Amino acid sequence: MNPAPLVALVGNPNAGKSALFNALTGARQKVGNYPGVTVERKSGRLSLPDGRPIELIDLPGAYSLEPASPDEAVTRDVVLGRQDGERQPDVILVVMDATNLDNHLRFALQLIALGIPIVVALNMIDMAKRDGLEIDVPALSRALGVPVIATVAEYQAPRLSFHGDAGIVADLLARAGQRIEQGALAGIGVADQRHQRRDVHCPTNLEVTNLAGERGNMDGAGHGTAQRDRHPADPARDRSLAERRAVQDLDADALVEAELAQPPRLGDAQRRPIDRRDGRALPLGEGFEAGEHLHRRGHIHPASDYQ
Amino acid sequence: MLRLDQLPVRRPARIAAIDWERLPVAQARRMRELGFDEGVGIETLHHGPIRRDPIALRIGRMTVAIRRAQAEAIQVVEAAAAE
Repeated sequence: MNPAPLVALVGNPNAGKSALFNALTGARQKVGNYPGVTVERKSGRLSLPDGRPIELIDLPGAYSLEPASPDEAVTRDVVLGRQDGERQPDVILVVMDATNLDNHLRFALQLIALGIPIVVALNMIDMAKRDGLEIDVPALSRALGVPVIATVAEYQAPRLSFHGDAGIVADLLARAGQRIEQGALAGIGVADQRHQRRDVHCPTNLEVTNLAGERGNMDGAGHGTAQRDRHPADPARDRSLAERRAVQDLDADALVEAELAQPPRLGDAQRRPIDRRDGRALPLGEGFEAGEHLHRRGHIHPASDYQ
Repeated sequence: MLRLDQLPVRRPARIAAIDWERLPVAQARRMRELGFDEGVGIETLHHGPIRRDPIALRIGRMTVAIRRAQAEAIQVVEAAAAE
């Protein structure tokens, strides 16, 4: 019997990976260790309404694929399929904090550049909305070239809830090479679990603005520092909501546009060799596509403390 | 324009320049990952008790503590002065 598709939660620290993990798996969790390192391995099971299981693992938070700690090294190695005691995940679920997109996109882009199957969970979308950020999820998804689903994973004792599109699981499975029948997932998460109850609803109340329409004041060229210069000095307190919205849009937009002119397609992982020494994908064809920009701007350095 | 380590507490500023060459590669990389970059809004929140080191900063939406020596590589412009 084939093992259940393996889905790994990856993202920056405090993006909400564990909250999402808890909300998706409820009480069905196992905690162990990766062999040889004191890094916790958390895995859980997720059952679809038709009974098919998915194994979900919660990886340590990381800022990039170049580790600065043993935890980050485990995250990198699992993602690249070379961690002892773990098979390569079928899907990476990248968790991003919607209120901290300009920072979290950096790592997400690095992961997307690997060409492995990815679904993005845009977490804390409720907080973003509260802060006046309106994120055009379909546009972000198109720009990144991967499915993006807005989620809210919150802990409200004694009950965990996962508000998100049921499509997230459908996308996960589809990318894990599983066939999904239309409507088979309509009720995912609504069924009560033994210990926790999960609610799922689509964030239809989310006001979505057309990001493409709102960026008229920015040319495609000169995004880099010009766009950075638009950062007001005190985003947390002094900025008006409108300004904050504009800045967030510009950040996400400029980053994505500049770095993902050609989003990697599913299946690239098989064709693109991975450099076993530093874990980065080797150039395919004309270069390191999506990650190249990050390298050029110095966001990614080849050197690393943990190899 | 002043160095980040000289920026008074609670005075919103913006990073004007970072002398990456001064920083060890691993530190520079981590600081970039944390969002340090030219043009980014920054604000000093606290200074440590001994030689005012380390320095707690708000950068983007995060609070980050860095060493005084690292802050010395960063030039900032106060937001009030920039307007």
